[in-house]
Amino acid sequence: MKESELELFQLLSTDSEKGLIRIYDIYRSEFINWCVKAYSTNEDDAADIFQDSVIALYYNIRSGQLTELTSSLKSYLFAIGKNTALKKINKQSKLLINDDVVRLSGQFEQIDHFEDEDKKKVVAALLDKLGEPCKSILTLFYFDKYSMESIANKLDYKNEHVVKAQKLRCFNSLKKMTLERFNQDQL
Amino acid sequence: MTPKEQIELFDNFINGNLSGDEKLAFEHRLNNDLKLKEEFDEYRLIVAGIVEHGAKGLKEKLKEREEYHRRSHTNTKMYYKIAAAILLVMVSTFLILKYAYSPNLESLYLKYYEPYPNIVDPLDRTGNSEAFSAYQLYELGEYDETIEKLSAIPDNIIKPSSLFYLGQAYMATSELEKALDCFQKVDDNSNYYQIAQWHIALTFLKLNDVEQVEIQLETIIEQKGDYQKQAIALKEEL
Repeated sequence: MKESELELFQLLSTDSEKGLIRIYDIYRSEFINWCVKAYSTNEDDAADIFQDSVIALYYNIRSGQLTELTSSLKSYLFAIGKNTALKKINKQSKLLINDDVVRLSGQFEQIDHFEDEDKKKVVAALLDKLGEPCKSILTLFYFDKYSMESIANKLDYKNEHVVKAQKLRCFNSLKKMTLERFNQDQL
Repeated sequence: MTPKEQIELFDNFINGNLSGDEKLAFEHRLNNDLKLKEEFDEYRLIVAGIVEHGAKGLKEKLKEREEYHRRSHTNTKMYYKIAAAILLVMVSTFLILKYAYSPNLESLYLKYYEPYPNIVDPLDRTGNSEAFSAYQLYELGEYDETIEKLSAIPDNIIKPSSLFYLGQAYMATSELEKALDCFQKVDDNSNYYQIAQWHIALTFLKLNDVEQVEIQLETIIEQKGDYQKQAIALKEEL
């Protein structure tokens, strides 16, 4: 792996915002050109695919599914991009696609496996409604995969124990709202 | 197991913090404990929603970044367009000024050019001459005959005066290249050298070759001879 890519990988592991923007800036143009040519998408769709791919790469790194790169960061990003593009095309054309075609090499996976997209979106909306500090604490813990100590530092809490207690309260509140929203039998 | 302990167990499971044995034990319980399975499914849905929320937040940031790139690209294109427009205006202005204010070369030529008088062999005003010399024919405006006579003189013996008047006759008949050739052959030790140099400038003027006119005028000005003042004046008018 090139030194610059190693630095990017480490930056993404430690400083999410800076790492994301740098990756976006570095690979954007090449990715969009490639996507437009390879999958005959328009530029807007290619940018959308690229954004989803960068987010997936980020999540895979943060969640520990990608702890080290055996090939270049760019290769991983473009592999995710290929998968994302095929899924998008599949969704648009409403054709079934063989999972084998879109399955990545097994080194990393998509953001989550939860099957019901609509329910996921409802919970996301409920979290939005729940407001701060729950939004930040839960997102930092479950999406950005920050440790309790890191969340305490970032959100200026006294210590990780305070965050841990607050996170539990937030989770339970969100669970309560979710259960109220859905019929438990449907979950 | 308290609800708090259960969530911590679920957290540790999805975050990969359980040991191999702990993981196997948890998976075994999930397969055999319907209540736990139900609780875990609820947990997974909530976590999936939180992840969805996080991804959505990131997506908004990346969309903003995309807009930034497109704005930059548009701005760059706009700057190029503005630069091109400015350049076009400048070039157009230059061309307009160049042609609108460029001197009328023909009028300048007429202003400065006058047939050089015959001082070599003036006409006998009594009218007694039986045969006119080339210079007299020149004085009479018979330029073709002047050319016929003077051009017949071999190059190795032709005098500077003859070359000069031959050049004058060529100018009068608008054979400008030939006129130039004659003036340029006038020896620099001759009395006709300076006047020939001045007429070289005038011939270029007649040819509308401003660049050559300017070069020739510079030469005349540097020589500080009889035609320096005229050269300066003409140069200022160009």
